Amino acid sequence: MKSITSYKNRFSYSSGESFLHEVLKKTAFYISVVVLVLGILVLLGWQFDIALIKRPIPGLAAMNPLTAINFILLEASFLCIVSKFVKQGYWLALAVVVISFFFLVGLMLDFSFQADLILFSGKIKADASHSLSSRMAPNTAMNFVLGGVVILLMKRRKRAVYICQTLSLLIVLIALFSIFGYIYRVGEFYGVLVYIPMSIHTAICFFMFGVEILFFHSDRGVMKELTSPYAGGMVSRILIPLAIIIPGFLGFIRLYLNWKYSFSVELGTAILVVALIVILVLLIWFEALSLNEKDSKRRQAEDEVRLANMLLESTIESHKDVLIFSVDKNLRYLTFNSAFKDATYKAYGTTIRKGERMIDSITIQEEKERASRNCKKAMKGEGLTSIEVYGEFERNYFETRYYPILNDKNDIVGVTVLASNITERKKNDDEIQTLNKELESFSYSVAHDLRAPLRIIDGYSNILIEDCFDDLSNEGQRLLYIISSNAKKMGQLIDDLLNFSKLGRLPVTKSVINTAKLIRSVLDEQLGGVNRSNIEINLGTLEDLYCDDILMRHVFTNLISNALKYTGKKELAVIEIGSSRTDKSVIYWVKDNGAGFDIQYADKLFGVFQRLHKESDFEGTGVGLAIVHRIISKHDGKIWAEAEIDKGATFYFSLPLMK
Amino acid sequence: MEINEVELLLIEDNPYEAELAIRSLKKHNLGNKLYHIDDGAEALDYIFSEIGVDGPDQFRFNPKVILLDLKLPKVSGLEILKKLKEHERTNIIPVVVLTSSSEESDIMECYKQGANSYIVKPVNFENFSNAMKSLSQYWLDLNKRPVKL
Repeated sequence: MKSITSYKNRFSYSSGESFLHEVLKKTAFYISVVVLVLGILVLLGWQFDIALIKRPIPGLAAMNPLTAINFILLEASFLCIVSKFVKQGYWLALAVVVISFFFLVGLMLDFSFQADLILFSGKIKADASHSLSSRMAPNTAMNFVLGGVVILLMKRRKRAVYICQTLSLLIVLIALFSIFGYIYRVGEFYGVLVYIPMSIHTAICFFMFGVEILFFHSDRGVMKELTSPYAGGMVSRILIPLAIIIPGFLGFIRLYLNWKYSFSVELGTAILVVALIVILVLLIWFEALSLNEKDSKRRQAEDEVRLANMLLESTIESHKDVLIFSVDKNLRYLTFNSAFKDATYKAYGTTIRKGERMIDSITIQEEKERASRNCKKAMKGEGLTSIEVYGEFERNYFETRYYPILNDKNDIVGVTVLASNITERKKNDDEIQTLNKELESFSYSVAHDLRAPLRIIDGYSNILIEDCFDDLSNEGQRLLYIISSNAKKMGQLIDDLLNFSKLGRLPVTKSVINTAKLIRSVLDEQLGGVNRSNIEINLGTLEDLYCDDILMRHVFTNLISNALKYTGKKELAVIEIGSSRTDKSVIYWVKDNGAGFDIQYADKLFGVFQRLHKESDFEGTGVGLAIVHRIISKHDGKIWAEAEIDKGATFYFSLPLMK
Repeated sequence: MEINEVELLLIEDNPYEAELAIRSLKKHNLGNKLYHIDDGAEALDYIFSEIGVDGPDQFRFNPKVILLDLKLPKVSGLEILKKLKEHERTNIIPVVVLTSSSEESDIMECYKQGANSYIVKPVNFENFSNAMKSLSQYWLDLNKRPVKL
């Protein structure tokens, strides 16, 4: 499962790991400084003849001055390479290798000139005469050659790291051999000059050097496994130090018992082996315990993750009408539901698989490009929604939404796409649009074609009245007036009806309007049209409204003209306009003291062609309030009325406040 | 009436509408030099009958105003308006669209094609009669326009 492994790489990260590496790297640096200082101290010891520094254990091998110089060079080269002076570092390491190699060759061929006798040669000769070893040991020289090679390999390519670390391990082992030799008082180290053994501090310095190199590259090669955050790394970090300390300590105990109580070799060995077996078995048992515990916890967590995954998958799967899929950064499928799989098969005849490229499942070039482009846009961090056509065999409209997928570090690692097939909806929309256009042209012809005959009826009636008035009887004249006025009335009806449908189709464009100004201008217009002096207008607080100003003008024009009309028979018409504000809306009212109406018919008030007054009492077509109602509804508002016959009517409407 | 004497050309297909219009004009003594055509195609033939004749002085059709209905048989009022305004010899003649339609789209289209005025005919005859009177007074008496084409 290629997709799964790559998934892991993309979502995992390791801050704890790198912290450990940082610490080890710093430790390596400090160790190198310590060894460097030790080398300098030894040189000073030779210069000022301080025995403790030259030879910590009296009577045993001392650190040769050349050895001290080699350590100084080696650590200096390490520090150079760690900092920016790589070239200088190489030269220093090369010097160590050449000096040590030259020494080894000289020793083997028994040259009269020996490199380790150059510095402080007098003092070394004096030591030798007292049968004290102060020369450089061949194993020391060998270690220096290895050490130099390690430094030279340090900055090389990947594979060199393994060689580098193997050689460092070898150095550590040789050093350990010497250290244990001293602790165990191996006879060959004591007194016998021919072996020229490594001095104790030389061995410690080598041990430190080897460890330093291993620590420095703790994130690579062999060391990688030991510093890993996984179970193996943890176990090895506990077991390896113990594997060095426990056998070493037990070995010492065995020897100590031998010295003190002179146990036989066989008994000592038996005790050593049994102790080793007991301790190792115990250690392994504890490790097994802790590993098992961790494993069971991990399994539990895995089960939970599996359950969560199943839930997620079944959720995705349960959307039969929404196509869902996710792609990674390279636009390869991470997951998808069967709705998407089926739709892709229907559209392009392709079968998709996880890990496959998205564009391979699309067969039309233009659509490949569009899908990739949108995914890449979403990967820049912004989700987007668009309506797109996809398919070769079956073409469909999709409302497609692209969402970036973020990991826990907020990096975008892919895109999830949700697509709904909206072909049916689109078809319906188109149909509605066609119907709307038909309706428009219908009302257009109503406007044009119906008005002309009405004008002709009215016109000819008028001509008749003008030209033949005297020839007509009174009844004839009355009938002619009726014809004329009804033609006019029908013209008015057509105009109102057209207005009603036109206003209903107008889009609402809202803004904050100064209602006080609007109402004053409507009042001026309306009062200019009537020739009455008995009108009293009271304006209360007039709140601003968030609405379409053209439509709202219609509303006020209608309500005010109604108020004027129905107060026409009163001695004094009193019209009051006011408003009040609530948390969510503004309520307006127009109140009059006119004819009013029977409140039980209030539900008919806002219907088209519905009237509550006789034509002979008050003229009208019954469209005005229907228009008002429609406009208020379009603003998500409400309209209602209160009235009493002969006492007046109050019309209220409320509009929501601007959000 | 000779073509060069026409002051007011009325293009209107409905004979009754035309009669009402003419009657209203005559009542106010404004329709004496009026010529009426009741078909779009005929109107084009009439206007452009002398277009082949060379020389600017030869093209004699130069009314003070054309009253144009939009809904006409064969060729629509809008097409006539377009042709009038396209042709260099007729595009200075004022055209008043006289129609029953108050559709915003019609008004817009007419003005785009260069209509000089747009009048919606009122249903009420009295209002209609007054409208005819004042528009004719304006275009025939008040308005000043180039004499030569």
